[in-house]
Amino acid sequence: MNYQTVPNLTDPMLLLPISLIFTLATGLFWILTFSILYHLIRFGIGTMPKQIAFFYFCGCIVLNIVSTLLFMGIFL
Amino acid sequence: MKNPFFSIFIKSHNTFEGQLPDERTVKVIRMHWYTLAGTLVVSLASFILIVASIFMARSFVDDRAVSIIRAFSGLALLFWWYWTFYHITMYVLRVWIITNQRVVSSRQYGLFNRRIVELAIENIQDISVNIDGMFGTFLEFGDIEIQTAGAENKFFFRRIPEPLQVKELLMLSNNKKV
Repeated sequence: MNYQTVPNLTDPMLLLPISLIFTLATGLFWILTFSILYHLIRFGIGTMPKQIAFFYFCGCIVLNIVSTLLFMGIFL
Repeated sequence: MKNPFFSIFIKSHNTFEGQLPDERTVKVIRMHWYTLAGTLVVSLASFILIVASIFMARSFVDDRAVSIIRAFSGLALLFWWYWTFYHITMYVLRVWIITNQRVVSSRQYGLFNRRIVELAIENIQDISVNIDGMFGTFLEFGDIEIQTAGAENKFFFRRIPEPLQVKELLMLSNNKKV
């Protein structure tokens, strides 16, 4: 591996776009999550869609925490 | 006292949008789980790849690059979750509702496109069942085709579980109504 090609992660010019990408992607994810939850609760018939919506929402929270922790690994 | 919030997860009268005042839901049918199996296999394979990239990145790249790979794998994990549940949502929202008055087919094509077709029970003229292939035979799923007297002359149930029982139910409802 050529170590000269690895970017310097303390460089704010690199951290800024990465942070921006992460923030926008997470925002987009929550908008999409809202649309999934809305459809399941609004149009779903019976208990199954509500149970799936609940499970999905719990997973979203857990995975959002995991992805944030992984993202924060850049700064450590 | 039962918490009304949690009751939506355990009890339902299977009411639906556009239900008539004296209409009662007899059965709600979704496609067989087999139709979702392909998506779940792809989802599982993607999950393994993403998790492998998180844990095995260190074996292939420098420590400084590992954190970037892990950060993007974390994002991939979010969108993997969304993708999987998008397909599950489409599966769950594809339903056929048999009521005491009609049969309603509701299908979601993407998040902003729905198609609802309905058929009055008394307009059922002829019902045929098609169970096709090895999986259909062993897992007991198939198609039902209804010849109708309505504007659309055919009404389909696709890859539904226990099609013969559903056919019996439709025949019974039709006999009661006519």
